[in-house]
Amino acid sequence: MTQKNRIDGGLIDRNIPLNFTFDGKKYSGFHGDTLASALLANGINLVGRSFKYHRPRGIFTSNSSEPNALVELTNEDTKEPNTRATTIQLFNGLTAQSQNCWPSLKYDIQSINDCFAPLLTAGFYYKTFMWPKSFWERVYEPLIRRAAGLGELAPSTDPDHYDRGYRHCDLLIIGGGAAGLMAGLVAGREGLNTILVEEDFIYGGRLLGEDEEIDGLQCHDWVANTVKELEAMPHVRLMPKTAVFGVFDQKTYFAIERLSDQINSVGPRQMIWEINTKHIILASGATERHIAFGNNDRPGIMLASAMRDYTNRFAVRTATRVAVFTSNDSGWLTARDLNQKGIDVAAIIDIRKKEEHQEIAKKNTRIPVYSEDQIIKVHGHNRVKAISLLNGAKINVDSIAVSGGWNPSIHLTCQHRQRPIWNEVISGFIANEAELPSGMKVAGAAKGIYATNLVLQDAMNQANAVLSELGHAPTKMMIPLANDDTYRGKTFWSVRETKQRAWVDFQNDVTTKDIRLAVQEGFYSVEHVKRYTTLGMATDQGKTSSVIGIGIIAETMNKSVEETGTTIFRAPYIPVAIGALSGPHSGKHFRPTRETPSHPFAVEQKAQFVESGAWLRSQYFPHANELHWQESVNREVLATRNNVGITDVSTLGKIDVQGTDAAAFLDKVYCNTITTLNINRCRYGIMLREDGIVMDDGTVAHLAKNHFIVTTTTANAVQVYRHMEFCRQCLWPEMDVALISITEQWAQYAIAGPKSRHLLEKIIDKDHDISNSNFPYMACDEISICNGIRARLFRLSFSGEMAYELAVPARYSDALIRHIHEIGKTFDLTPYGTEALGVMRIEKGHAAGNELNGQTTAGDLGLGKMVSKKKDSIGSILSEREGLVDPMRHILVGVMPCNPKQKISSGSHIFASKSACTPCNDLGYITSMAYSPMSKSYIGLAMIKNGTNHIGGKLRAVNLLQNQDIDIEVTSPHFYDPKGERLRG
Amino acid sequence: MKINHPLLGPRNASEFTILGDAKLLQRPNTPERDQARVFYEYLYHRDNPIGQHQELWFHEQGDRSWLIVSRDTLTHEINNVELASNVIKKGQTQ
Amino acid sequence: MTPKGSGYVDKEKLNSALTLDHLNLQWPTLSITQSSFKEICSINASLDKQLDLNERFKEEYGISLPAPGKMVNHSTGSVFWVSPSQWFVTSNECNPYFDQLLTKKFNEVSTVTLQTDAWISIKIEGPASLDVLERLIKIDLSERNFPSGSATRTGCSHMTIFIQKPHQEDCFIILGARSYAKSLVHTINQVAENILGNKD
Repeated sequence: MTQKNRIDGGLIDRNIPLNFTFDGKKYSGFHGDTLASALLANGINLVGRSFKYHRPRGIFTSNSSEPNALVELTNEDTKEPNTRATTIQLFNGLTAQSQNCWPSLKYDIQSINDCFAPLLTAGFYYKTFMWPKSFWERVYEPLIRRAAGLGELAPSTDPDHYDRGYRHCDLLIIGGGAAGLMAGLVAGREGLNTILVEEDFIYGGRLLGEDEEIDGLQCHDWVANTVKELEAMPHVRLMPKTAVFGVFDQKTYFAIERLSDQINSVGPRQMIWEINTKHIILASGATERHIAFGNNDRPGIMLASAMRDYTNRFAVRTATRVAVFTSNDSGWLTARDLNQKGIDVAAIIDIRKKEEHQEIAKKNTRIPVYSEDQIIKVHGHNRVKAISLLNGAKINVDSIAVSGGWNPSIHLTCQHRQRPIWNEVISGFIANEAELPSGMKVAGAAKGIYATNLVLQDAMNQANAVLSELGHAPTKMMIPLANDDTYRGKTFWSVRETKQRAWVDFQNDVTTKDIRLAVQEGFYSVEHVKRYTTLGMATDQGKTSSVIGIGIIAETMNKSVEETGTTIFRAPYIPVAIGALSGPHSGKHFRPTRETPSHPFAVEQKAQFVESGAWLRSQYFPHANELHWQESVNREVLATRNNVGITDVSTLGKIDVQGTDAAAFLDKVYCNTITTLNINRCRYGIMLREDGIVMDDGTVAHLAKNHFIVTTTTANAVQVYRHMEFCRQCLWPEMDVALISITEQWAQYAIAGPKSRHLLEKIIDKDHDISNSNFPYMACDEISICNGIRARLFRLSFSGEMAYELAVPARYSDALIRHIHEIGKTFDLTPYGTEALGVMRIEKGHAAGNELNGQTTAGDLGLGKMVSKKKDSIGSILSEREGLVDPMRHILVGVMPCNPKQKISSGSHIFASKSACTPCNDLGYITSMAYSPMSKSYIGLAMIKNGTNHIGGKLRAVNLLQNQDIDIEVTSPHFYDPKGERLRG
Repeated sequence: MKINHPLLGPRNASEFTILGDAKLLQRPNTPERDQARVFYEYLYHRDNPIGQHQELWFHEQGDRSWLIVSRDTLTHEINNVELASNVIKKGQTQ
Repeated sequence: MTPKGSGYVDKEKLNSALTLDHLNLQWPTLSITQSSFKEICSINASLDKQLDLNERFKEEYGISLPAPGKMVNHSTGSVFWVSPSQWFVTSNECNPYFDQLLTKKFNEVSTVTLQTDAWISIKIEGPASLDVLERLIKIDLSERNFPSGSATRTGCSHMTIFIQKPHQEDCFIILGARSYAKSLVHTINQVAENILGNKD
């Protein structure tokens, strides 16, 4: 249990010890550790097996660019694969497993793949597994599928939940290292509304791993003081554990915040912030890259800066005897820091000539230096044992600290198809300042400026530029004293003189040989080489590897790095859980639910509900003795047609239309004429789209002078309102008309059946005469009920029975439905739902959503005469196009099975009696179907080619999916009460 | 994406729905019954520019105004937003 | 149902019977309760009658119709801007015929509809109210962008709402459609629990 590799110092808190489990064994660490640092502290070096070759791998970095140390976090029966041990903040009880190995990390059977390496080079699957052809599906594919992938998905639902938030600021600072903190100080002291976002759980960035001074203080103390000052400013918001992953239009930035590293935590685990800002300072720093040399993927080989992080920040000795292999000055800092902590540094191997590194060498006195030398062989399998150098030396070491240079983190400058520029001085890509995203400035290492002194100066300059653009004076702050050593390095990608494979992309197992092979095979574009070799396509998105790959492509093709260029950068900068993207909208709460005014009553009546868009509508009201919904629906239909039924129709759109031009406006919007509609009368109306196709149908009620109420179908309420506002504001703005939705304001119940009038007479106040002569079919009026309660009555029928729609302000709706239910007992009142409603409208032959499907015209539906030729209205001109008046179009008709016991299916296609079932013989399809208690048979509505001429004839309804081929009779679509006598009673 | 509403300031794009090219404002106002071709052109023929594009957006979760938005289809920059009714009124007085 | 006289059902009873059930969610730094208004109407200026309507409104209530994004109180309620020619007027007095009352007052220069029953109103108060709302509303609700006397329609987690800032510190009022009441309350409650943990 002792952490054998723990040394003094560091930024961990030894007062808070933590326990964790890895691959079944228990260990301990401290608060402030990552899982990676805690593993290293306990001497654990082997953490995974590589993707293709199953080679043993150790921890390579100390941040989110980690390619190797991917573990699976577990918590009871949930797990999260492919998490980077280097970014997981250690918590008590953390449990993790290594991935991609069986039976164990140490002895992985699939490591045999490594022996087949020559066969498994880049693009191998394009060249192999082709013969014999039959083997692909049965043998190769299943094998490859089982071997592919790194981590394993959990089979259960994600127990975590996620949240979403929206913030606004004047300045967004991305990165809380030296540059970010400095910019934050400048902006904060000038009172700017600032948000500073930092990926790590503590601030400091590169400074966390360095032994430097700022303003005479240990740099960690400068960081702590700065953070304290910023935290106290109410106009500055610090967001740690938050990473900006995408730059979007109009200066909108998306960031992911890790609220808890624990899976199955109590609150939301992660949340995505949408940050709206005016200015941005990108202070994202730079990440180190390695050098490709033979067997450079062995455990024990680590980035030089990562080794400094583990030593200085986490107080961990990662090795006993280290060799530094570097192309630049920063590798030497690792040698110095390790030396200071008493860790043996056997050698500094610098690829440069002695004169090229003489400045940094001045600070080194004890460690042997091998100039202009390279590592050509790494000895050891599960751990480095020794290295052999180009110039002959062999040195025993158990670790190599490698530094191939630095890559400024410029991803966010390139997400809008920008391309970065190669800077030979720092051997890195930096952003093209002429093409930065709107409002963005880059500061510090993200720009290729590495000396701390210069970083602070640059950050202040960028912050001053922001202040100036916002009309403020520049800051009067002084730059703190800091390290001003110039960074020097040489561009160097790979060691040529090696017989071993040299890795570029560790996670996807891509070697230098793969890249050179791709070029040899004719893949010249970086985009093609990337996809052919899969370089940079793993979960680490090529953070340590892509630039090296580009360098090798350039060398191989004898081009400059500039000419070779980079692949296109795309969001997200780091992997983002899909759960986080959906935020709180998941499961039952994927979208909100709308309840009708009679919902509590319906629940008590044991209604079964159906989702109709966001609405929950009563579908049917089963009685206790009914075993099947068909029984309930039949009962409801018969009860309504024989006595009286009631249903909630509040969900249909209701739009209030008022103004001196209200009628003229409606004449434009409806294809039929509204200006001839008298007060206190309703009319069925059809709205066309401008292309002549039916958009929606509904009723228009002329309630009072200059006052209409129009209804829409439930499904189209939103679109119809939007369309009407377009007509009003944009097409006929000279008309005096106002629109507003009143769908929610009025609860509306349809009361239908021969006894409906008797029932209503019980509640409608005596001053309103609803006799047939005074209130005929299609009448409407403002009335009062139950002694002065405000209401509206519309004599409309969807069912074909004598029917009324009674509307009351929704405040009365619950009391009203209960009252009607009570007094309805004398009339055998039956509540009915959408199913019975559907049966009755099909029996009437009334077109609804299934027929108004975006392909039918008024003529197709038998309503062609409704389209007025005397006025201009939306769609009237184009409805007369040849194609839309062709007599061979599909026309609405009724269908019934010749054998009433047979059931026909909606969606069945129609064929002539002796035709083969081929597309050219297809005569149409059934749009709606129901069992009709009135016809004692299944009935349907169908769109049939030249349908009118088929009425009275026989055809077939074919459903190949369920092997149905049923003889049908074509009828008029009006099965029930075709003359409408019951309506008008 | 954000749209800078002329009366309400910048608003999240989720508050709006798009209809299409602002040419839809120029509905043929003709009483002739045989103007099918004119309507056909109005409804179906569109330019598809790289660059400046005038579009009709509806502020559904806002003030329910129709807006004319000038947007660059390549850079996505929005450089002008006006109330459609204002633009139409201006056109009528010219 | 025993209606007498105008048969009015009090709005609180309406909400509790149908939708919000005496909404009262409490945390140490946050409370979510029902807000009360008695009636709301929409009032639309007739074509080219905006100035006339404003004059009549001033005569009646002593204040001008508010500018875009604004809300003002008057002697018996408040009024807030909805669109270039539409305002919502509220009343602290019960009257299911409020629209007819306003139509009489502002005839020929406007059209009016009753809106009371279409809306439920939720009050969010306490130092944590901005923390909760920034997880629901995409608008900048800070003091400098949304000061007291602001009111606007916007979205809240897939639902359309009005949000208002009354003249009270750390307090916001949300109006949502009656049919969405349960979903709206659930959403706000969920966010509050995410940040503040379980209720008192």
